[in-house]
Amino acid sequence: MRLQDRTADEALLVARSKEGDLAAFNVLVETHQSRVYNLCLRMLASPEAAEDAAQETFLAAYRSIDRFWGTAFRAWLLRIAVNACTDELRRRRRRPQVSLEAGSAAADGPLEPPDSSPSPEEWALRQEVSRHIQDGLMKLPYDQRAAVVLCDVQGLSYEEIAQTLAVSVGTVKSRISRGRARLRRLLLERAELLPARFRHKIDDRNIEDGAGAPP
Amino acid sequence: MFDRLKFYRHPVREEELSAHLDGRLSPDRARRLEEHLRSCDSCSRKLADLRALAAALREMPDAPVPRSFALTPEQVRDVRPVRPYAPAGRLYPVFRNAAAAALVLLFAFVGADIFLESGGGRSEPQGDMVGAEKSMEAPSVTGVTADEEKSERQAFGENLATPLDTTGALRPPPVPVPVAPETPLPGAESTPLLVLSPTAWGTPMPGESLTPLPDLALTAPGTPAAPGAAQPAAAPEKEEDRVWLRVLEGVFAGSALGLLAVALFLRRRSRRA
Repeated sequence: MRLQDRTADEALLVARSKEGDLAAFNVLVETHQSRVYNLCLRMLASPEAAEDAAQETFLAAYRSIDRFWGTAFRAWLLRIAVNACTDELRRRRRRPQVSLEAGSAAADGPLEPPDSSPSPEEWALRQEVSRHIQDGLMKLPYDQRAAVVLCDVQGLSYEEIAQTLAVSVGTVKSRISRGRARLRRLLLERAELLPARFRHKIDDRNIEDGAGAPP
Repeated sequence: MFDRLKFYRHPVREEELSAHLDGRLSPDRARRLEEHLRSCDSCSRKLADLRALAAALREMPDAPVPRSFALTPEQVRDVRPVRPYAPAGRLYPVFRNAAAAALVLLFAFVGADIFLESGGGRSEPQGDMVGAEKSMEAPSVTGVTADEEKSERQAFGENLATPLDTTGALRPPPVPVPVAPETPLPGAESTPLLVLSPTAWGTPMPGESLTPLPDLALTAPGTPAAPGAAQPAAAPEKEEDRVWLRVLEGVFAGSALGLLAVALFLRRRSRRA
């Protein structure tokens, strides 16, 4: 019921945006900007780049809102965001003085723990793990990174990811699988860098792994 | 290394572990995987790793938005006019159809051109008569009467068949050299089709250059039109039609190409973004 209300509201806002109602469009922006910005942040690992990409996303969305039909507004918007990230990556690669690696550490640095956080230690641990995972994400091929971020970080369904990336559900499935497998290997390689609590979850597997069960 | 080899012989693909994590396996397949997991340490470990990884990814904290991304009217003022993306998709079919129409017209005109060229020889006798009538009514080369326009088509065929007319049209200003108008150039009519080839337009027939036939009509307006004299009278005008036909063909070919280019450009534009 609640969800239906929201999609109905969204359809109305989209319709009014198409007529050039900037205020209506900005309601949509406010609704989705956190998700869009965080997607860009995970894709680019740099707050500055993510900010540029998010702004470009909403400008591009406003520019082409006439061409949006249907109900999957969020998937449509996220697709624009993924494309904007591709452009941003290309732009930064052309101007290498703005390094993405340098921004990577800052990506999660200045965050304040939310009220729901169990303890400062737990929060610090999560930050640490997040940084390692973010480094691993940046080593994934772009397609796999997008699929893993949309699925595991943003919690989208396979179907919505397929819409967002304009590929089949089967392709989504295989990209997520390969991305996770690669990320797992990357984290195992540098398991000694992970915090102890997380390490004992996946550490010590690289020796047994595969050789554990002889046929 | 050993690890790798084993992986290829393994009954469970890595993709299935990942899909199982998200609950995306069919019940049947999921049951078989669970069975396999009970006996395979490697796979259950891998699945546990993936589960831990997915959990860690889910727990990655959302960063607060650094600022509001709401668009200001200033930002939008630049954006709205630059909206070729939206119309591009809608304008593409218009340009595509226009290009197709221009092509159809081009083919129609080329077809008419070819038809008239080949049909000219056959309709010669009929055209002859029409030409004769015409020269009596309107001796002037430039004068165009309604009657003439009506009989245009027939006369058209007639004049194409005669070599004299074609060369005459190529020099619009009448050369003021009154030459014996009665000479109907007997040799010319025996080779009608030869002149129709475009190469013959520019090159005067032997002997013909001395007797520009447009003059014939101008210098002797009142003379009773002999069948021989009638042909030249209609000739320049008809030839002018022919030139117009060529011009139109060129125009249609050019616009078809141009419209096609615009249509392709629009389609590429609309597919982006």
